Amino acid sequence: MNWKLSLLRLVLLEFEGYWSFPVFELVLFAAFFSILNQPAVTMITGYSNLNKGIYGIGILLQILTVGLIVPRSFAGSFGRREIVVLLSYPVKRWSLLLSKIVANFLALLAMLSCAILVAVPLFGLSFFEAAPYALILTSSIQLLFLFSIAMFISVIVKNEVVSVFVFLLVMFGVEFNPLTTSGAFAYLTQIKSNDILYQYLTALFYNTPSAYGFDQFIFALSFTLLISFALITSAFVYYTHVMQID
Amino acid sequence: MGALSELIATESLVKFFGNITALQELDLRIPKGISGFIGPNGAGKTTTINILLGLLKPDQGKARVFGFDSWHESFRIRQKVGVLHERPSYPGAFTGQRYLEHVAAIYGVCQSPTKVQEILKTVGLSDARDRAIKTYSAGMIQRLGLAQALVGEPELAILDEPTANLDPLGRIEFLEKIKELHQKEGTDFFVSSHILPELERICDWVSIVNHGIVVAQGRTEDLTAEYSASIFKIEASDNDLLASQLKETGLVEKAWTEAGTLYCKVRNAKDLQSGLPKLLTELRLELRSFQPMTNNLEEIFKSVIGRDKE
Repeated sequence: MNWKLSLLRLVLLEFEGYWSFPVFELVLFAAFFSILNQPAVTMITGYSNLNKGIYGIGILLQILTVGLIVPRSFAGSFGRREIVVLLSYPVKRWSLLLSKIVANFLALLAMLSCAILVAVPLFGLSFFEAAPYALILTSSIQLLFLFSIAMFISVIVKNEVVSVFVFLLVMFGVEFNPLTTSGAFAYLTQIKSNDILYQYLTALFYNTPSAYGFDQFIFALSFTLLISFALITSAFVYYTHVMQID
Repeated sequence: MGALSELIATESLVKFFGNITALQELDLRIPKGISGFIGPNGAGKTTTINILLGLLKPDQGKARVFGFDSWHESFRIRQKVGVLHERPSYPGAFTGQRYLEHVAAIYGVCQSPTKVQEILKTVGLSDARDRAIKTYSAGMIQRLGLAQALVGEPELAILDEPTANLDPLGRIEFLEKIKELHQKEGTDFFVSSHILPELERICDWVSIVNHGIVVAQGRTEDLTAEYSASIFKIEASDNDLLASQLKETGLVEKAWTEAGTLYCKVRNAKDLQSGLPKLLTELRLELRSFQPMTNNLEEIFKSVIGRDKE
């Protein structure tokens, strides 16, 4: 069978089978609920409000969402023995992993974009402004970063509960560690990295001075993308050449 | 047997899980037809199957299916093989029919609803085809497992404990279906099980595995002939004493007890028949029964596993 068709079929399997109730609906509900409960929503207007409104809780929500959903699909398939069944069909290991990455990343991205776009009128913004799209772009880059960490942990650990725990421990450990509050290590944190990317992009779109320079933007962007790329590549190498399933 | 007629061949296959040796020098030969792979729990059956499918990498030795290396060419093997795993899991949100359509598409075979419905009918799941898999009973999951193993029109179907979760009637039907599929479609089967009377009904070839080693294998009728001619079942008033004396006097090659019965492997049956009465008299033991082993798979299995323990 053509590998593209095989990949498409596996993506469909992932979407249809594993993205069923209640996870998708629950997370979407949680996203909307969090946005609607922002105290800053009606107080200030403008893109800086969007920043403040979604930013803090948004990052927390993003970490929690990725931390619950990615291990469910990747590590959970080992626990439920779905991986044994799937890898007994004529599918390449890389294509199975890629299908899971594509399906889960697209679903998470769709949820995130929905949450941000629903929030736009609530913040008194227009869909024709750049701010929401800058936030979606920034969040997508951060989502890739979080996704790659969660996926790597899940593939190595192969246990859903332990993967969730390790991922949250790593993320919150990095986020609240005194070492990462300033200096180069701060680029590891979601708060700092998101801030640089979002502030720079919005300043660029609105043609206003940015609190961060181009060098900091490039550093934050390349740092995030390089780590994501390294983790995804490592997961692929492990999955296709080393991993054994009993 | 020539290499070409062998579907599965392993050479000195070794697999460790930490300190546990799952397979030690396993030499398996499986020809075309319906073959049984039998052994007690923990003997290494599922590990062997997982190696054959490329899910596990052997630590030593080689495994070949259709002549393809199981680790490096597993994709080519899986193109020709359908598998029903032990304790399988399928996505519960799908209906049986929808799931089989996906599997047929992955195998690249015709995925028309009619074709899938035929398979569902074959395994007795027609009525449940539009129900979500999560509502299926354990027996229905097992039938779906057989359906997904066959929907890709494989040359070989590997079934790991296929009759688990089926009621006695369901088991008979299931095995009859395997026999029928082999006769009509030409599909070969490699069936792992520890329910021997069932396997005996359908298997042309049997491989017996224990502690990760193949302890006996061959055509079912050859094995039964061999074992019934050389193995005797004896029941005396003290089996343990008789076993030790039989070995000491050299009347038997091996003697062991299994489930309260004394089994003896002999080189010459006449020696045992003439020497046993004298020995019983000397030991003042009462002979309750003496018979050559009956030619069924269960007896062979017991004697082989018991002999292996010795």
